Order: sequence, then structure tokens, then C-alpha cells
Amino acid sequence: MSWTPFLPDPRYAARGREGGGGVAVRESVALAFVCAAYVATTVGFGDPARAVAWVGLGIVMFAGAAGRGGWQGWAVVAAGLALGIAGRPLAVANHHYVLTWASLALALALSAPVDERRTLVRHNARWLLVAIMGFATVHKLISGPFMDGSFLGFGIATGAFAEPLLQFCSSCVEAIGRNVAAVGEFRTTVPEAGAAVTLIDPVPNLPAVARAFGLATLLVEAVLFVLFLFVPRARVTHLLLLAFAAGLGVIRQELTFISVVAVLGYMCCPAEHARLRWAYLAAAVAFSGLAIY
Amino acid sequence: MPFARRWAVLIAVCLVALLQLAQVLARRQSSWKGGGFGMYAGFHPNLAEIWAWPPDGSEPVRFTRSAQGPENTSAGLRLCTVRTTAACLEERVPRDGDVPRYERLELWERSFDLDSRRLSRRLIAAFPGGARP
Repeated sequence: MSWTPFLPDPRYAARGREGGGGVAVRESVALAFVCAAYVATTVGFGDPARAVAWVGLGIVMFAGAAGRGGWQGWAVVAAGLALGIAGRPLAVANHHYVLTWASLALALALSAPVDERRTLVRHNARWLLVAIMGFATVHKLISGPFMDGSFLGFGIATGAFAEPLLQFCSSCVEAIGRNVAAVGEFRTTVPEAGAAVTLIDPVPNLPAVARAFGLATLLVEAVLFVLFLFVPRARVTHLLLLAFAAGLGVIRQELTFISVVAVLGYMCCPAEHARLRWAYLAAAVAFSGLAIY
Repeated sequence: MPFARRWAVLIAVCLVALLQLAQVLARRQSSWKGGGFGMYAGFHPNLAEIWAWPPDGSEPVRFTRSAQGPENTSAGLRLCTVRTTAACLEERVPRDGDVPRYERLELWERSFDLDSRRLSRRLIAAFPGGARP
């Protein structure tokens, strides 16, 4: 095992397929697209000054990408996103943080000599994915509501999870609707210790379904952590990440986060898996587009 | 290849995420926020509720995420659904000058018992402490 498996591989370099070279333009353009989609969907354009600032930032971003390796554009993007975090660190979403780190990684990679850039992009994307999956797993392991299934059970009962799947079952939709109405009414009452409302099961045996769903989520994230830590170049690693992204799409439509994960996978995926790279790119573009739509 | 280009991002990510994890463990901060990748590990802070008791004895009001809620000043207090402490409520209670506009603020989080399917609420912070007016 190597901690830097993306250092130039003489086998691929000899065939002209890989090596550490390249200017990472495609990675820049892919990340620029996802960043622009995030800005378009998240930042309110009601305030003209803010809109002008963000559109200006977008222009610099794309100019940096189109400039074939100018690191300054990405440094400005990373600084802009970091300013957003500094202003409201507990309000911005996790994918805002991830985009900041990915932009910083690209800026650092593009400031390196040309023959090291693509290697650095893959190296940093790989470690970002290791960190994301590792910390996500730890948070779930220490969370009581996640481990006992109550968080996911409540989500399924109120349509926050698996709704894209359950919408094809009319009795499930009806049960979710009744639960949502009950929760809405409950929220309007002054809270008292012991006061409760009982929800109904939209699916048979809700506790078992919720616990199995939670266990599967935990396992997939832990396995992705291990795979990206030890075998980041392997086909199975990238197939599982793509399956994870697709699964998120039907379980919980966090479209921007999925597109961010896909673009990190694209940045990390070695050239020998050309089809997987195209799949990542398609997922990043499709989910960003859906988020805007 | 300089060290910083290879490891600066990972070190920064881990520092932020470890700091956030420490806040979650030590101060009951929501795992969803703060850049620690703890999303979907527990109830979203938007589901927490802040209730306020006016000093004139009228009915308590619920601060909502929406600006159309009973209080339009909820944006500042919303942070307390992430930083779930009485100190946050004290710091961010709406004031007229130095005088708090409410006699009491309470922060409640959701609790769902999966086996009985009972949804209830649990008081996690109040300002000031003690009993309701």
C-alpha cells in the first residue's frame, strides 16, 4: 500500500496514458461547473451587490479554468468560499466546505510544475474522499438517534427518506401524508414534557426497515473510507462510489452534495478507468443540472 | 513536490472536522453543521423549536425558520438550534435596548421512539433557567 499511489506510474506513462502530467483542465472545468451550480442554487440573487460579487467570482473561476492551469482563479474561488465560511461557519452546508477544499486543492495543484499537476489533483481528491467518508462514519457511530434507528425511522415515516421510491405506493404516500399533518399540528402546540403524537407505519415493520437502512448506510460509508484509504485506484472503489451517489439520488435527493461527490470521484479516478470517469462526469453534470432545475 | 501541495488540504480538512467533532461531543452542537461531515447522523437543526414567553403573560410564540413566522427576528436565534446551549439563547434573545423582549426562551429537540412510533419533544436548553413564568 502506498499513501501516494497517484505518483507517476511508469507502466501507464510508457503507454502515454497516464503519468503525473497534464494540466488538469478537464478537472478544473468539471469543478467550475459544480461550483457555479452551487452558487446559482444557494446564493440568493435578491441582493444586487451580492449577485454582482458572485457572478464576478464565477467569471474569474471559469477564466481560471479556461486559462489552462492558472492557479490564481482557483485561489480566488477558494478564498471567496472560505470567506463565506468565515462569515457563517455554522450556517453553510457541508458541500460548501468540500467545494472550498476542492478549490484549494486545485489551486495548489495548478501552482505545481506541469508534470505534477494531475497527480496532485488525484492525490488531494482521494484524501478529501477519505476524510469525508471517515468523519461521516464516526459521526454516525457516535449518534444515538442514528444507531438506534429512530432518526431514519422518523425520516421514512414523514417522507424525508426514500420518498422517491415510496411515491409509487399509494398507501405509503397516504400514510406519510397523515404523519406529516400530525407532526405539523404537534409542532404548533406549546411543548410539554411527555406530550407525544403517534405516527403510523408507511412501510411494514418500520423499525426493521429503518435499522437495516441505517446499517447499510454505515457499512457503505465505512467501506468507501477503507477503499479510498487503501486502494484508491481500484475499479471496485469507484464503482462503489458511483453506486453510493446513485443511491443517494433515489433515497435522499441532496443533488448538490451528490454532484460534489461525483466531481471528487472524477478528479480522483485514474485514466485507466475511462468509462468510470465519464460516468462521474455525467453524474456531476446531471445532478448539478437537476439542482439548478 | 513540496509537502504543502500534497498535504495542506488534508491537514486543513482534518483540523476543521476534528474541531467540529469536539464541539459535537463536548457542547452538543449539531453534527450537521460546521464542516465535520456529520450530516444525516441525527435530526436536522431545522427541526428543533424555540419558544418564547412574552412578559405581558400572553401566549408563548414559536420562532420559526421562515420569516413569515410569529417573529421576524428569528434569524439570529436560529443559530441556537445548532449551538444548543442556554448561553446561546441568552446571547441572542431579542432585546429592546438592554432589556430582553421575552421573559423566557426554551429550546426543544425532537425525540422519536421507533418501537412505539411516538414522537415527543425534549427540552435541551432554557434562558433563564428554572420554571416557566
